[in-house]
Amino acid sequence: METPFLVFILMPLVIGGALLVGLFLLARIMPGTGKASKADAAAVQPVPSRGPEYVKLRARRAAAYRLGLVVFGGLVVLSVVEFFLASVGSTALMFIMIVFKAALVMYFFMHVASVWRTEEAH
Amino acid sequence: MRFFKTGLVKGILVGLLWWLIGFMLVEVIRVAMGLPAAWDPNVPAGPVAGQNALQWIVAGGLAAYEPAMVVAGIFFVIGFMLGVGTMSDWLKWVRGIDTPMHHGPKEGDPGWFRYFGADYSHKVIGLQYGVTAVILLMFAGTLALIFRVELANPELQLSLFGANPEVQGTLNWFNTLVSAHGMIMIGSILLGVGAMSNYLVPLMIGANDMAFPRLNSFAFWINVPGALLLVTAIFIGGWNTGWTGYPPLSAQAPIGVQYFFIGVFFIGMSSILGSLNIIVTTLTMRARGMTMFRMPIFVWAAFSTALIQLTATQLIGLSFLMVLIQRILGLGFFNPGFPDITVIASSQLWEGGGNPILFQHLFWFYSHPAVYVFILPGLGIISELLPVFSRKPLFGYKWIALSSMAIALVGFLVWAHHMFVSGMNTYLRVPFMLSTLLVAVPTGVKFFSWLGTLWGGRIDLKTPMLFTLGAISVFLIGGLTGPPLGTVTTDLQLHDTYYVVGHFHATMFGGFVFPFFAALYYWFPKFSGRQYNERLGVIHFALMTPAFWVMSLGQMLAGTRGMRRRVADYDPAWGIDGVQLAVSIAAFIIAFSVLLMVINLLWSSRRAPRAVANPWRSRGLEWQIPSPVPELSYATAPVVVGEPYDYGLPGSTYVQLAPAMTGGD
Amino acid sequence: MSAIVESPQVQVRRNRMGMWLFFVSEAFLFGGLLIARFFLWGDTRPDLPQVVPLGITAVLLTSSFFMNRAEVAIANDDRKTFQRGLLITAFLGFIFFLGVLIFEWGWTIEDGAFVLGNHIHPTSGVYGAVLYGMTGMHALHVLSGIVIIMIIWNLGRKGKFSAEDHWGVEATAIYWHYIDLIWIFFYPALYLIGTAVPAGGH
Repeated sequence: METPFLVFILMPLVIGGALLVGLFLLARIMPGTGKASKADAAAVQPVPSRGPEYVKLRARRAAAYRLGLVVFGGLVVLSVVEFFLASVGSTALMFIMIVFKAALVMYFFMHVASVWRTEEAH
Repeated sequence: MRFFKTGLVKGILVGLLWWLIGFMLVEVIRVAMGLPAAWDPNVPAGPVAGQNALQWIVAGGLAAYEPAMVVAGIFFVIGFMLGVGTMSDWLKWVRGIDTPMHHGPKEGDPGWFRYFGADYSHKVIGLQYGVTAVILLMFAGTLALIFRVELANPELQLSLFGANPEVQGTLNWFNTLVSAHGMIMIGSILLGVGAMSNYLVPLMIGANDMAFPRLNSFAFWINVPGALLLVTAIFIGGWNTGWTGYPPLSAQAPIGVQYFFIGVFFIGMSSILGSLNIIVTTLTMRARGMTMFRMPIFVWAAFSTALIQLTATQLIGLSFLMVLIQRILGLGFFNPGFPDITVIASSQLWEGGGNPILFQHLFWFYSHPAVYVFILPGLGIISELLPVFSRKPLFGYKWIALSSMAIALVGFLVWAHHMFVSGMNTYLRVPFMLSTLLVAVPTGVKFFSWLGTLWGGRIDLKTPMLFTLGAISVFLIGGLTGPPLGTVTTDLQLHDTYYVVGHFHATMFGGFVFPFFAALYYWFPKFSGRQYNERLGVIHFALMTPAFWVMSLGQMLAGTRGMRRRVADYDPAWGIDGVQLAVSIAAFIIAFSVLLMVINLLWSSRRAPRAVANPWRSRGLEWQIPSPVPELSYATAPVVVGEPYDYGLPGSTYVQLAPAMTGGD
Repeated sequence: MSAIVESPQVQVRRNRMGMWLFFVSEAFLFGGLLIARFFLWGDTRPDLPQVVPLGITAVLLTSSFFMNRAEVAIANDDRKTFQRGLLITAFLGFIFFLGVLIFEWGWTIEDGAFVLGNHIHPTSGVYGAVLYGMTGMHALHVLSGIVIIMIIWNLGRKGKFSAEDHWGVEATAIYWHYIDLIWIFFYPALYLIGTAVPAGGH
């Protein structure tokens, strides 16, 4: 029982530590408040309800919904695989599956990259 | 009386109401479930003959209603937070009402009013933290004085502890006072750290407030019900576990231990939310031109501290929550249970199997990094003040800045050195010994940099500088007595003796108390606009420093002779009577000197002459603006153009404040 | 006196960073629970029925999908999908919550009194303690998530959010996904990893 215990003692340390180091690095590239305010001038645009702009909006929407569906499908597949892999009895294998799923959720659903982005990408 | 309209009073009243609601709620549910109202059949559910209600409560009689007491305690905190008004903006958001940020006191309120209620200015919150910290410091110090009287001589002295058989007194009081001294002091230190971080960090980086002012206010005020519960815990039966609260003892301790758990839990929540605020403020709100390596060194220290607080604090909350739940719901995390040891070993039963050592792992995973939470801001203060009073550049700025981060990170890898004798796997001892000794490297970097800064400087021995030098001397004692405790072989002998107590007090005084007092004196002109009495300050220093040396070294001496922690009595044959008496006298001298400081600062804040604009000729951002700081600290955005600590270098500039706008706006 | 007004985008960036720091902090809470599980259970786990946990896992995953859909919808000015997505998410979250409480914990009424646990009790040694502790802490977060989603739904009904200004929705969404993320770690740790130990001796 010692090996998984040590793994899981290290796991929060590694994940949390990586996030903290990331934040620290972020501090190096992030400008002070004075510079950032330049990006704030982005004017609020009215929502188009017809015309070519509207077509673009519809296309963007559809693409975004499709991405969500694809990620969801991936998660379902991974979960099913995980459930049946459990009978193999390998903790390391399960751990890899968990990390895969967690990475998918964090990247696509939680938009972890947006923490590092300094300007809104609208 | 206007005082009764303050948020503090409202919070306490609403909190008490909610306490009652929580208590009744659990009792009603219990009756509805067909359970008896009283939880513990062994404890009388009401006062017995010859006891009035108060005596019954103080003796721990409320243990008969433990689940109701726990829920009521949590409800008290919620009610307090609702009553004090710091959540009112959030509750309006929930209903869809926008609340623009309001700066400054409400119209028609006197100036003192905002200090007793929810206020979003970081300057107000910083002072609230500081005053609460000093009040808790004095309270916990007074508790220490009571049991130092007991320890001054062998055998039992005080009838409170049962020396006089005719008066009801128990040694439970001694344990309770020891435990309460420890944990309330820790709460006080956390609040003191919060005071320095909240007041100084935004000022030092040229920001007008914290990133989340409402959260900041919430994070302060949740300390108050937490501290109130901690104090209450003493008077509803106390607890005999020491501040560490190890199970299985804490799983069967008197009822006070539950309020101790809840109080610590909410003080920890304050740490987490406050540190989150500090990190975001430091990362995103720096003045233009202030890169990470142009920040004042204290901001680095506060930032590293916040990283520890943000992450590790969850673990003490979790470990205390687990014991709390084990006590009232019977979840056996730490209950080995042993119906039959061979059966448990083969894990074929869903019974028993709990492990108290798990608690120690979880607990020390916070509580060791926590000591770096206590000392890192103090070490930052030392590095901050030395160049000012030596009129020299800080020696090795980047090394000091990064050593704070290094201490914070290494601090996460050393927790099991508290557990060498706990029965954990022996192969873990040596790795943890090595990582523990590794902490000496970044700490040594700081020491040598301080020496390098002092070397050849024109040293100005004002009170803050005296306390800084005192801090270095005391922290040196604390630091050098650490390796024998981190080394397995010697720790097996010294574990749980007064040697540990002496070492710990030396690190806490050197790392927090002395620098905190230095900071109070140093920034007193900044937040009050007046100059403290220098002579009283010097007397404070002259009393406290030698008294502390005697106290700390005396405790270590007693420990090496065999004196154990948390014991009211000792064998005269050890020959430590004189040492113990000296320690007790020293403790009283320290207490007197702290009282002197409080009187000095209180008196000076009203009557002392106005301070000049920049009494210490500091280059820091916060000294370039008027004292006391106006409501809007930086009316025009400051621009950082140079290095922070280039004292004595001709022609160097740290910060440019654009000339104040005249007319318009 | 003029206050320096920060632009909403600067504030959103700070909020986002604060939210993630909160997640880092919470990760240590849940990490501590996982450590407790591996410390106390080691390479074993209680032999429990697999249907209920698998079912509620599927429900939570689906709710996460609808939460993402709602957030994408408001970011692309699709109010109808947004409101509907929030409602479905809250509903599925509530199903998950009930699934834990009623089917996994087994709250039932017997002889007019509430009785807990038809297969494993909270007092069933460390197996019961860790199972109830971990699912309970997670369920508490689920409950808070449902409350927040309903608040956001109500505010959305009043038209508080737009494609440009919907930080409240984003925060709720990532909080909900975070709860799902925790369950991604908890579910295998509780039900899949280790050799199953049957409830002998009862």
